[in-house]
Amino acid sequence: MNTKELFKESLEDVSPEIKAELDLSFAIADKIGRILTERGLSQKEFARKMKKTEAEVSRWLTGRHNFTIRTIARISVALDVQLLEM
Amino acid sequence: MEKKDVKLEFIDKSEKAALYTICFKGNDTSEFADFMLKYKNNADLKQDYRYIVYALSKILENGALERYFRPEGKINDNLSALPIEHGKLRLYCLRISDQILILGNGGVKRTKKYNEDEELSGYVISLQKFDEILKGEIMKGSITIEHTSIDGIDDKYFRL
Repeated sequence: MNTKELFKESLEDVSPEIKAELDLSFAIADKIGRILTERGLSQKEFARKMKKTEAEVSRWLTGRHNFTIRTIARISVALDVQLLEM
Repeated sequence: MEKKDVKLEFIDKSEKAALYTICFKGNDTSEFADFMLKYKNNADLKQDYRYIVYALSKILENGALERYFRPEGKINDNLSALPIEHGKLRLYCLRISDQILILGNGGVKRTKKYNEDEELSGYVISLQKFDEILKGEIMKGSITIEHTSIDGIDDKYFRL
């Protein structure tokens, strides 16, 4: 089996739960990333605004961070956007 | 480190990004295939592995954006890692651009720094050496990169 076939096979083994989790975390990260870019806000400036470290903000934007409801709410307020559609 | 010949192997592409890996001469499998074979059925790590694999599919979908990766290695190299937050398994790669990602091998990070681990540092050093070679070949014009395609690599081996 070649590399591509192994990769496809591995993707088939990913559970719906992991897919749903990462679809959400990437969607949130990408929305934050897009907003920061549109507003010309650096990660450093955003971290300062959120009173967080740059390292923590960097983790938020990887697409693999497990956000808490509280963090999503605080980011939504700080950026004045709905991170999650309700 | 013993000199080895390595070639670049195409894996998959989308409109936004392409995945490649490296394959050592004489090996049946590429470095990324080796990583997949090690962990896809590993009882302790297969869940972590599946997070990494699905994250790669998201990267293919969205592009290999810089913020998706953890920078590793030196300031001027393209070495990056794809870790997961809740585990120690990581995949090393070369993030060439938002459109091109070259996957290496990976493993469990048991030490504070990868260069304290013989297995992981081996994977990292191979990628760093290949990164240097790739830059040189691009400067010479023998390899070109256009959006999601790397040209001039077919059946070509490079000496690390």
